[in-house]
Amino acid sequence: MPDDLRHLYLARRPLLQQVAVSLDQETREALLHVPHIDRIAFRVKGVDSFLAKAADASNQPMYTAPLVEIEDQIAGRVIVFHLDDIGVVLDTLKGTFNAVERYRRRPEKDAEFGYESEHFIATLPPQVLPDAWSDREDLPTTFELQVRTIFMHAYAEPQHDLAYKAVGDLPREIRRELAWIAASAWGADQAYERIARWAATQASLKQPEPE
Amino acid sequence: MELFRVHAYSVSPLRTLDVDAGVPPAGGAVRITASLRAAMETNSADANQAARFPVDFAVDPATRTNEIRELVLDFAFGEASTATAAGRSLAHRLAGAMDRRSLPCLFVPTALREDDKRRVVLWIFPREEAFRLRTAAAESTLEVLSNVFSQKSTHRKAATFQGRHSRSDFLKGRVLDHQANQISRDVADFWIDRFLLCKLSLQAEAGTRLLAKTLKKALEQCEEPADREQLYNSMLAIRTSPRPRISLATFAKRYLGGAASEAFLRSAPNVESRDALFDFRQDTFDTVLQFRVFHLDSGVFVSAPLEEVGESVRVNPKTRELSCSGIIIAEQARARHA
Repeated sequence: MPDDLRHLYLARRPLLQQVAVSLDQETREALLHVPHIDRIAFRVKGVDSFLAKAADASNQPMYTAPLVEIEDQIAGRVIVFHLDDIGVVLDTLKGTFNAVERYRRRPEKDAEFGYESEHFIATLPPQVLPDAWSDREDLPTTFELQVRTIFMHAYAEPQHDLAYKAVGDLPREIRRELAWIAASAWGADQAYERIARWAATQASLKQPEPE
Repeated sequence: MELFRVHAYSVSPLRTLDVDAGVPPAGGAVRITASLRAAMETNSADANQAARFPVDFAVDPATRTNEIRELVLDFAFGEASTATAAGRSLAHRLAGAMDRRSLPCLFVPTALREDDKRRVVLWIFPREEAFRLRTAAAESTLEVLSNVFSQKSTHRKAATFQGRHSRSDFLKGRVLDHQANQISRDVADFWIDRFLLCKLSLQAEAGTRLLAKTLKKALEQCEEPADREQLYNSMLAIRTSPRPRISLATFAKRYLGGAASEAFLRSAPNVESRDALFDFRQDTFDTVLQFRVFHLDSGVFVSAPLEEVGESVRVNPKTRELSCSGIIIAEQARARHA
């Protein structure tokens, strides 16, 4: 079964890749006039990552048709400067994508620090689908987009890479180190947010009087 | 796929009426005869030939739910009693979405199956009056039938949703609705928005950008001045059109012909996007196209690429006077402005 699934996933990956390129372009055009965008990137899920997710018993209920059901086969990320920019990006993207789900990933307990990101799942719009898409019934109908600040990203990416390489549970000291990085990133975002608001006030004071 | 479930309800408008004053929908499951199966297959084939466009259920992003989607899933996958309750709820919701301008209609939800997949097609056929001639040796009679429903009317509507019973299926569908681009928003929104609780799959901003980009590509492909002029005129015409809901295919049909139309449709990114309806946004269109159109008090329209404003096209910011200079390379007499 996994071999079949691997084969099936690899066979359709070029189609997914085409959609990822079109979604990237759509997102860039939609956000063209939105300030404070650091970067936009889309990717197609790697085959090993896809197979691991399809077989992950912690997904309840388990996927019965993972080729259709796994929603981050095509996923994108928008990295912004400040916390307030996240809402601006999501509101702007409403004019381009139909959202089916939106949620904030953050630690459950107030005293914890860890991964934070805004997740947005939307249906694939008609203009990004290659003509060969309609010939198949085993393709996803949705994609995932994450919107986060530079500091959220600075914590999440190395942490994901390190945790992926770890064997077994992380030792207590390592978990405390990661929590310290997450707390520092959270604090930096809060500080930048205060500075950005101060800068906006200053800019409004500099506006010339209308004639 | 095998047709395994057909319900039929007679539905009259209940919107804007007191619930007690209206006639509640009546009907339920019907037996699938060979002739009914053949009729529904013909209707589906006809609907596929007609312009159909993609829609998405307007799902609440916090709960990932949509009332109509849940009823459609119940109708597709539920036991007979669950499907009956879902069919009845859909009929009631339809009556609640119809006002006095809507004709009483026959609402026919159908379900088809293949393995673990289902397809649900929701139909409405408007009521019409018809004659029935009975011939007999002694005396022929002509009977007026008032409880008949038209399968061919342009007021018939359909919506198709399909997939497995999963959180990522039954989110998108295709719709047949000849009134969806009516000038009256109330009429246009009845089937998609008020009843189905759906949105157009091609969102307003994205659709308008797509139109502008397709026009730009078509302009690059057309070398004949007459074809280019058609494209320029179409850009002006859409900006003032009273019908803000359009698709690339309708745009080509309404404003273009010959080589210009072919180049335009060839420039669309895919077949799917040609029929996709969207709500036109003038400000987005102008921004992407980078054209500015000036309407002068003399009745003259001046259309200028953005980079020419301030160069060969000058506007005095205080008096709002416009001056333009250049050498005419083509001209044409017209009955009216595009």
